[in-house]
Amino acid sequence: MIGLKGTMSVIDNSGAIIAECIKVMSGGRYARLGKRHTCDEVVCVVKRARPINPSLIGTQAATLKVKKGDVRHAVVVRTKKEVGRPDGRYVRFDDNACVLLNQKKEPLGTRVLGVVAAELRQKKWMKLVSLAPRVV
Amino acid sequence: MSTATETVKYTPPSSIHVPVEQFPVPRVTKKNVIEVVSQEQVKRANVDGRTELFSRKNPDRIQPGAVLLVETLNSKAKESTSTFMGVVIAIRRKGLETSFILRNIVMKVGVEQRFALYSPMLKSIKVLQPAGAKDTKFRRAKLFYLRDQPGKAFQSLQSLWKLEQAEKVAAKKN
Repeated sequence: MIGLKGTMSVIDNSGAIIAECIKVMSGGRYARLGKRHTCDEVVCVVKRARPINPSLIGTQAATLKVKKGDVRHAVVVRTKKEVGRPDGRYVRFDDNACVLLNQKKEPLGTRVLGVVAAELRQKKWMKLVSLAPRVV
Repeated sequence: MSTATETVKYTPPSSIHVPVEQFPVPRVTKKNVIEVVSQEQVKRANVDGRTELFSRKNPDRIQPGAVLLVETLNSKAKESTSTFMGVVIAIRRKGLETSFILRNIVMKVGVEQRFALYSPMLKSIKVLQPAGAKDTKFRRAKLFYLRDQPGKAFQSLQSLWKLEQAEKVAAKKN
């Protein structure tokens, strides 16, 4: 359940470390993983990012990295709030996490580093699921 | 009326499948009908002896701190299953709604899953390590403190998983 000002760790290799939610795209108050398979998108500000290697500045690789203060779209992949599965299971993670997206709703980074929730197994996010090392 | 006491024997045609009565009529010793009904529900849902694993009096019951491996069906139609291994940190006993929480650390992130014991999608529960083994004795019924102070509780899970995988491979060979 991530709402305005909610912080999430970013688990891809786009360069961001922590992002803060500024808008929940689904129109609700909170972004969730959702029953019945909906993963909410969110607009977020990058609060902390990895420093861009100075030798890379000006190259194409640098343009893909995000800086502190960038505003990006993201999809929530883990929540601390438990999400119910249709078979009666509830799954809870120890933190909130997201993956940054570009304008075309594709993941910005090329790798996902960490567990993601199985709620992501929808047509929309199949690329993300295939990148994820572990889906629970 | 003379026909009231006679029972008419009716043999249905072979195309009709008549379900066999599985459960006897319950002996109602309690006065609370709801209690009787919920106990009956538990008996019917207890397909493979799950109730005994979580009963209060069974000496071999699962206690908080035990390491379990739970297999769940992904869908009723397919045979595919997903497994989750973890330490039992809470058991909630509510008749048919009995559930337990397993906690594990997956790729440095803690994951907790609450399983409904009598869910038809829950295929099997296997105890990998009973509670109290190897100096990990827990003196609480609910181990939520393990979220902040895990100590050594989750260290043995990796090796138990490997053992389990090895057993599976050996079983497949035979």
